[in-house]
Amino acid sequence: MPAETPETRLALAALGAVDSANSLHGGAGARPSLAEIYAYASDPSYRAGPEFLQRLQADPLLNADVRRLISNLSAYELPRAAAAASGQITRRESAGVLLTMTVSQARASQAYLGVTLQDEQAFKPSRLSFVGRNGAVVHLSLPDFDDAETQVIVEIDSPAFRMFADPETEVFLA
Amino acid sequence: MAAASVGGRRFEHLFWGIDRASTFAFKAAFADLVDDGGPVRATGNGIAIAVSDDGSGFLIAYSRMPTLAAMLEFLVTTIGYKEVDEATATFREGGVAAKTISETASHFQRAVYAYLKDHLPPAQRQRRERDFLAFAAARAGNRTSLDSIDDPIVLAYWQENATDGRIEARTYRSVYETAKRLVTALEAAGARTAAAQARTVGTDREAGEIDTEDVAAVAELISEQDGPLERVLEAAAERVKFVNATEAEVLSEIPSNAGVGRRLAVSVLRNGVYGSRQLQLSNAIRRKDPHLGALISPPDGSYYRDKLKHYEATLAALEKTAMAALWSLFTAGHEASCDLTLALAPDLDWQALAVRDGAEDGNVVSLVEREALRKFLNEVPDPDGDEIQALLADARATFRSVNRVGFKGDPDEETVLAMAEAVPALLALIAAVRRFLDTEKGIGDWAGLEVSDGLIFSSVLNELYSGQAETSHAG
Repeated sequence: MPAETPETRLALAALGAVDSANSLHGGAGARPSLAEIYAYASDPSYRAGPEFLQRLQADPLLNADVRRLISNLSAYELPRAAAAASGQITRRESAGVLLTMTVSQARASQAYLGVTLQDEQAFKPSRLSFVGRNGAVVHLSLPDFDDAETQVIVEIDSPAFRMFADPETEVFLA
Repeated sequence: MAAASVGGRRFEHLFWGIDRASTFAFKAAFADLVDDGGPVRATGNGIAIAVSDDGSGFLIAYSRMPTLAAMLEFLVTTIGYKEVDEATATFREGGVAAKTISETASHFQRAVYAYLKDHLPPAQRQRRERDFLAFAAARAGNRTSLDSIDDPIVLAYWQENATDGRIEARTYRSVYETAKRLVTALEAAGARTAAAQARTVGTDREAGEIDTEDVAAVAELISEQDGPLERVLEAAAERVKFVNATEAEVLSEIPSNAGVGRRLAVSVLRNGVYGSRQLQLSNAIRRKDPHLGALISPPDGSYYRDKLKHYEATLAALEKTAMAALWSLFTAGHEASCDLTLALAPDLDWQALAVRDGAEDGNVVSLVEREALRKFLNEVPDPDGDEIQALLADARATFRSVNRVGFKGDPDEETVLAMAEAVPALLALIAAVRRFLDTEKGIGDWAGLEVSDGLIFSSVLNELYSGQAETSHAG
């Protein structure tokens, strides 16, 4: 055994720590921290880095973690929709909540996303999250509710509009 | 987690929705927890939880919560959020029972062991480090662990252990890397321990206790990601090719740590020559190449001296690109050109830029520096001018002779920024290579080493590979 001086003990402990850090948190196998997943899943202003987004595309476990966290933090959950005849979804409904997407008559480049709660006394969400194919997430901040209703303007060419129309998208309100 | 889930709360908000996992933040997060007679209630020091099935209870102190949050983060990043969420659902939703706590703990233990089985660092490397230290200590006499690691010990350890299978030390490179890591770590640990002598309160070092802050500090110093070569490649690789792939391979053989270069000067060359040769042997065996003999026999000629010439040529190429970068940065008016000039020509006569001002005030000094920089950037290259003008003319000519990405025509703004960002690491890299080559010059008898090492290495390699050579040849 090596002479057990304080320097030797410290050096071996530090080498072990570096190895462990590289193995557990570095390299291709490392998962992002939950702080990063949490911010991605819950903060509309958060911008995930390219590494995280690439990982999200390729890693079904991370994908499942993101989806599960968004679901856990949500008050309302609208599952994937049955494909509409037109192929584009304009209305989604689930227990307690109705979402509608209506193209503006005044400005054809915009649409209104309406949120209606069935129970006026129910929890009023402030954030709407779309979870699309491959775990991609788009958040929208919701304005205050007027009784049981609120609406937000989205651009026709925005990811939010496209994801709402896609039957594969799940929608969550928190 | 049970406490963080009372009244429909989500534990995720508590652990990841706060800016900083501190005692104060956790205390504040539980400030509005109402005592409704349930099993969880807030106290002045922490959260008290009653265990439902055996009448016992426990208190989780707010001061303990940052550590528990770190453990939870570890669980999530290793076994995954989904598994943590599912495994804790019962006690988050159905009350805290001793049986549930025990089952959940066992579940996590199994999951973490399964993860570690696949992800822990190679135990053989750690075993080899301890074995190497013991080997060196047995031959150290009065020397410290650090001083006992030298070129003869590295070679002797490999000779003694490469073929016996007791420990994984088959390749010279693996033994050299072990010695290199140990020198780096022992130097950093020695410096840290010396600095810590004055602050021994709370940690009993003589009893073998290790301060986690010391471990973190030393680990940061020895982290392998931080070498100047890696930093040059990272800062400028795509926009400015200071170093091409071949040069990077050569430079990666030269240690950036001065202590490693000084203590293991011959081992660096042995690794460069025989470490590579052994790798070629392994590849040749994998390919069933019948010509292994040539790789086992000693190399011809002055191979260490040739290797040193190769290092010198690579240093010259590096200095050439640095000189070319000086011209780019100078023409872009970037102050990094001044740093490069100081490093590339430390003996330069700066008299031409002298700004006469007797004041000692710091602000005035700063103004004087800016004025000197302004004068430097206004210099006109002239091979027949003063030393600064001649150097700039040399930099311009060098720039025109370099044919690499980032060194053609007028650089755009991003190229200049990438160049400037890489300058500190580039200078550190040049300094490390120069320092290493200076050390090598102190070693006199390379010719003798070439002969004696040739015999030693061919003997061990023959023992290791001659069977495969015959098999390979026959096959």
